[in-house]
Amino acid sequence: MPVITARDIVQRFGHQEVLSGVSLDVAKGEIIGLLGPSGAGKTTFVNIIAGVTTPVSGEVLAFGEPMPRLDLMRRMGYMAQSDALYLDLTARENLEFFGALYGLGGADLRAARIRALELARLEVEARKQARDYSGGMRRRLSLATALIHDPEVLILDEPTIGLDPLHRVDIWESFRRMTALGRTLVVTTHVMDEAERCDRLAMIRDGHFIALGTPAELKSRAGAATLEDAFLHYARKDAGGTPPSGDAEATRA
Amino acid sequence: MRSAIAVTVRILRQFKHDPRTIFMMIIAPVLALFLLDVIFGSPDYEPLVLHDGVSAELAAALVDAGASIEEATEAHALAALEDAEADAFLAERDGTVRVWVEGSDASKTGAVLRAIAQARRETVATPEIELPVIALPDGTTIDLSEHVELPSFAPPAEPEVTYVHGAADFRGFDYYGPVFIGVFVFFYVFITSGISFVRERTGGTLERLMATPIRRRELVLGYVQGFGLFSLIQTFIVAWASIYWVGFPNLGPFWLVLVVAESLALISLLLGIFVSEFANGELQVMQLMQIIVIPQILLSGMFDLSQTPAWMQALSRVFPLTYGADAMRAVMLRGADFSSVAGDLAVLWAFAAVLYAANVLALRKYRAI
Repeated sequence: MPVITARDIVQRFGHQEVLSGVSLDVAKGEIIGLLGPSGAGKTTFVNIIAGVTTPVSGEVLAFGEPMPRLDLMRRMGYMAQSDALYLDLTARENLEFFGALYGLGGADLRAARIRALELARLEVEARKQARDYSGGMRRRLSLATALIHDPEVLILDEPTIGLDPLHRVDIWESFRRMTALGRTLVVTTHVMDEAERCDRLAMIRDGHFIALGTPAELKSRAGAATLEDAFLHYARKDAGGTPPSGDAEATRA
Repeated sequence: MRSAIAVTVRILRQFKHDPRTIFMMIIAPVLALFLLDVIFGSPDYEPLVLHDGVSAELAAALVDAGASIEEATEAHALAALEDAEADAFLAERDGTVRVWVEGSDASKTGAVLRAIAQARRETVATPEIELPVIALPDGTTIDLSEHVELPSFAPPAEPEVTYVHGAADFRGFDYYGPVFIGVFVFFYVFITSGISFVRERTGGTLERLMATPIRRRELVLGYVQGFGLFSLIQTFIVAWASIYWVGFPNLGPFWLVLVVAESLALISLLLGIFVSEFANGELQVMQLMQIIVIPQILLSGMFDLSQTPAWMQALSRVFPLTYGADAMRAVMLRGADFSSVAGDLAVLWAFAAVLYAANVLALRKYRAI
């Protein structure tokens, strides 16, 4: 049974259709990447999975139950694209706050806080206010607040943007350790090198998936050497397959 | 309710890391109160009366009536009035008294005319008539005063005044003092809570919170607890400074003043949060405040509305601040106890309950459940 199931998700903001009927199954223990340019609908899609946004139509199941439900959200972690931190609080206080919201307290909270700080490599600066953090440190603290309660499913919106390459590698290693323990990750990215590290990739463009598979599959099916070329291949095919009405003549010709 | 406590703890920690805000929240109302204290603690205005040709008695009576006097020629006096350097010119010509007043400030005009009227009453109303003793040719004398009842020209004795509420030493401003306490609390709490919540939105943390299993009502409750605790300190300082430092009279129990003021603070913080759910930034909170808070202050009872059109009086009745000001006056000026302000308090708490529910509902904008 998939941990997360999204079926025919449609989302509109005003007249603009941001997602047009997207479906996805996420299996337990995998890292699934959503790869696409900004504006493709990645953030909207993960917000819907996380239960923050309710779609116009379609349904999301988490752990086999329909979302959104607070007790299901408790088993998930979410890292927003912007560093949603309280800048006037210290890293420790930020973590304690989010930990408490997930029901952690006392010794459990302390242990979870120490573990999260360690994973984000922020042990030394734990008592500093987030205001005094660099962009990369804030990003890591943001990640730490998302996984402080050791969620079964972790939804990460561009988690490594602005991080130095060493920390990026470091964090992907910890993602792998988490999947080894049966945790599931949904990660959005527009960085190809990061996409390579996912178990499966969903390429997304203009509100719908243009390809889905392992990075190797996607490359070989497209006959491309890199994911970037593969993405271009699927994007062209997609534009040709479902042409905007005005271009219909040109495509046939 | 664990999440609500987490929000409360977080807010208090944010205060702890931001001593400047704490300082401002306490210093700002105290500064305003200090200014009020200086203004209203100053002696009454002493009008300057220029005079020409008035009797020495009248001049002395003017000084008794609280005016300072100076002799001046008519031309000089009128020039002084033209430049607003004096308040009135008093001239007596052939038994007729004429008064010129400067006239641009109604309260000063009133003060100077009252002083002149009082002085005239004193000098005119106390002629003394001596009845002569008549000596008849036969050597007997008749003391007419034994036979004739003389009319009394003495001013009537002062009536005995009993104060049902208040006291003889109440100053004119004292009636407004209690309202000021309520208005200060309302104003300052609104700003802090409104801006803090709008930051939650613009900083992206509200969206982030909505991805956690916190309930919407827990978030609002957390805010109410956090800011409620802080406003309790602020309310205490404002009320304490007003009563024991500035010297606003308080005939009721101090704790009841705190209860009323804190009820107002509660409404104000809920209103601040509610408004900021619709504001797109800190500037807009300030703009919305001009619509939502300033009219409430104007219609709160700070000015007497009893002669205003019915629609304005009705409008003042839908503003919570009106009930708060009413209760503050009842406690501080009339020494009301809890049961006599229970009605006003019930209205205030009903406002708070409605605003609480409205906040929880408005958060649906950010997450449906």
